[in-house]
Amino acid sequence: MTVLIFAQDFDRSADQVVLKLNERNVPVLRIDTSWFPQKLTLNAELDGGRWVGELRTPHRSVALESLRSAWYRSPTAFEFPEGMNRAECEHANREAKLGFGGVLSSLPLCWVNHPNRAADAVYKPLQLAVAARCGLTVSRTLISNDPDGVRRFAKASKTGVINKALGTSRVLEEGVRKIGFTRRLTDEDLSDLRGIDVTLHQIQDWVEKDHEARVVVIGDKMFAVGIYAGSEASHADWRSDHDALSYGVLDLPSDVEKGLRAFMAEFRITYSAFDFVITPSGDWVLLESNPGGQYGWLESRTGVPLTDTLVDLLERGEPT
Amino acid sequence: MTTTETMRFYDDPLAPVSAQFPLTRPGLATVDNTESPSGPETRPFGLRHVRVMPEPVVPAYEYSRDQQVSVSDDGSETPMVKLSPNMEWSSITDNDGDEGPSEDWGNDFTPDYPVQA
Repeated sequence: MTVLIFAQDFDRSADQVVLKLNERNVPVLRIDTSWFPQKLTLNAELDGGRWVGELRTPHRSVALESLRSAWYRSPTAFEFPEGMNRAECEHANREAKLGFGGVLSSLPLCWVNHPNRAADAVYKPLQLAVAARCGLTVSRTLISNDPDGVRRFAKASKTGVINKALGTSRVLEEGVRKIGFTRRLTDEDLSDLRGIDVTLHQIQDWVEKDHEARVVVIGDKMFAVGIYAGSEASHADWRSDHDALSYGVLDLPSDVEKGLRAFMAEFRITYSAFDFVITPSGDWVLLESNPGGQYGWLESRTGVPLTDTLVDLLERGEPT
Repeated sequence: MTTTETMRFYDDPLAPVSAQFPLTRPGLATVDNTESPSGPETRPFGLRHVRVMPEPVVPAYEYSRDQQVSVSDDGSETPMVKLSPNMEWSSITDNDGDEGPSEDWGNDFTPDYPVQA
């Protein structure tokens, strides 16, 4: 029984999982969806209530019915051959999404994570609502394109407010890559809210923090790593100054663990990396869940056995 | 499938991403957009303070279809993770990587216009 890994060619965490599966003599097929259709072929036939057939690369193939688990790590967009016109490309892309995605996501595997459930779980407003229902503490939040609404929300805040993107904060323009980090809004910002109205913005109360934590949940295992800021920039957003960070393994409070288990069950996902602020009084406030969250650097810094735990889950292959 | 159903499935902005087999945006894609920021009235407020990231530094590697991992490009086929187990692995953000700063995979990239090789 084979483990199927969806990952880009350049992915150190995926490399480590492949090597670990090899050590355990667990068959593995690693693919990237960008290989489709030029270096990846799918033959699937409906047999009763299940798709059977073959997934094939120029170097190896696997029977769909022989798969035990799938790690949906970071598959990228399909790449079609040069020479197709725009309409042909769009048609091919649509058919590939529905066919490839439909067949694979129907397979009764141990999914880490099932692509459709992972996609639902990236919606931060949904995350926050579910988290609150699961008993986790979340920050006071506004999602709005109304400048007056933003000002009212900010005025009512006791700690000030921040703006944080709902999706990726990376943009490509002027021929370069740009990134935005979480930042506290100043009086100057609030007096000039042009651009709020052109799309939705997530505004949250600033949470006074002692330190932060990333909790990596893999199946029924949870690992909490404290992230300690050593600079003003990393205090506002630890992603903005990695060199100033230090790390340490934390004990997870039982009520937080209980809330996370309920959250995972609600979304029916098996993996996520949760980001928390730990306040000076010791409360854990959830910032967000990352169903495709990175974990490798935490393992490297602290030794928490994340790769082994993930490989255990994939090897067991209990359908999710 | 009727026209109405087709429209609902493909064109409804509130349709769940999950209906579209979500994929990750290519992390190292070429930056081919040279447009400048539009202006304060139309540029989203959330982009007001974005800053330029250094170009990702990617170590020389090859993808081994035999081993199914990235390997050194010197012909030895040594897996990169064994060659440099503690290296800072640059890829997506300012010096992103699984052993260093990383951007989480969003699986929120569902391009209507597909990528062509």
